Amino acid sequence: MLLHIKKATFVAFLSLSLSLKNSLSNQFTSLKPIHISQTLSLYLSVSQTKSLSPLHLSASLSNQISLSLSLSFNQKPQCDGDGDARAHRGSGLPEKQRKHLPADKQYLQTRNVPCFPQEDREVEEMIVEGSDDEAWVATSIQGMTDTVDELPEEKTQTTQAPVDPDDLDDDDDIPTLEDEDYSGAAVVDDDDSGAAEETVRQLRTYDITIHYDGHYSTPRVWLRGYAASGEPLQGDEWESDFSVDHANKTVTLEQHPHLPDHWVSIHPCKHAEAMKNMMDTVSDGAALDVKYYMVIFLKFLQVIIPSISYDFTSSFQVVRQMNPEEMQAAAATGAPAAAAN
Amino acid sequence: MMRSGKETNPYKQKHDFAARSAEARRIRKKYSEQYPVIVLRGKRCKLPPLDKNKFIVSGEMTLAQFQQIIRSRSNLAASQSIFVYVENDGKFAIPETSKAIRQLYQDFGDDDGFLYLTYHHDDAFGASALEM
Repeated sequence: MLLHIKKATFVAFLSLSLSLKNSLSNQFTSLKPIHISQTLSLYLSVSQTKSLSPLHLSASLSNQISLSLSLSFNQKPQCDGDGDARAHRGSGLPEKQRKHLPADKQYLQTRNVPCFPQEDREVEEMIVEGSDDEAWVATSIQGMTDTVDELPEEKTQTTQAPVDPDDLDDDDDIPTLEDEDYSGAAVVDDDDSGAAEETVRQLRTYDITIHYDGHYSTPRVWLRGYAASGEPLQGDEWESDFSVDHANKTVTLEQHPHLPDHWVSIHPCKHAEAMKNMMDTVSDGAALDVKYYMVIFLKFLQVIIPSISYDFTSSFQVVRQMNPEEMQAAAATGAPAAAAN
Repeated sequence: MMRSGKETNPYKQKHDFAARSAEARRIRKKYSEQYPVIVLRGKRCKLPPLDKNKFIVSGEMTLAQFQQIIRSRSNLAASQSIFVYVENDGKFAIPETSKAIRQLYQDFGDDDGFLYLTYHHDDAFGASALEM
């Protein structure tokens, strides 16, 4: 009863997600509500755990709803690879290619994602008014500065830019979207851009790749950390960036399937189950459009790696299909179906 | 704003719109730069309810930090994870956890002046890889 998606479908679906240019607004007000019921028959029914099919995808392709994922596919490996690991940073090793996938669609990647350390800040709580279950609890965090919460917002804005595959050149220092983000983050017209720049310099960054795991039929995520100096993290330095609940349990250091080094990987054994659970929560049992798969997957990852602000997706909104009783109730009161807004 | 279906938000069931908006206005006036947030338990969430669900939250706190507060109040086992989303008036959104409460309040705040956040836990998020 798990949510699995098929290999070819996954790749096609990712292509779809990446080709959608318009960014999803993060406000309720400016969003077009998505009426799931309208095209129900074409959509993945999560509750019945169907696999994805090409039909679902072509349906999604024609759909106007767009996603903003700052992921891009790997580049085509260069034939004159000289074995230098850095030369393959954006393309993967030619000998590790999976034959059933196009050379330039082996995996997804995003680079130089900043990592905001998870500090153990003291949380202050006190009941300020009332008693029992109607009491107000005031919460605040000690030593909070503005610097940290300025940056992610800038990132959010800059990642709205569409990924243009033509921007990728074959040099190692590919100006990926993420690179631009961070040069962008340092020169934003913000009051304290100096402070922001300072913060960026001190941050570790992560490269993230996502490939399709054939055994578990889910996406699988790989991360590689770099110190603020740009040097790869050594040994177990990465552990501090992952929640203690996950480091060395679900998250381990393993050989990357396409790249020469050991990367931190989130084991996918529970991904399908967790995705089903999360999609059920999102859709409240109704059918959910397949285009949400990657968005929800990335949201799900955030739980495991809260400090790495990879959140490529903006907030998104779903207008759920009404269940039959609600339909009747709405009809009885003369309200149009799903007139939530 | 048009509402369809039955009101499922227990806080809204208990207090009518006028009472809620008066209370929200009072809090906003008394605590500037702090926001009234009502925390709800997701329908499918198996955790026991929180003992307190009304919070006055500093605007600059991020959702990630607030999520930690909910986490610490729900006595979660180390292997359990929670995520927080907005589910209000038939709308559903999963905001970025890096967003500040101030921003969420602006984007997703209810007409009554409260911000409603819903939490859900998942054992599978934190599962160990014993079955690998």
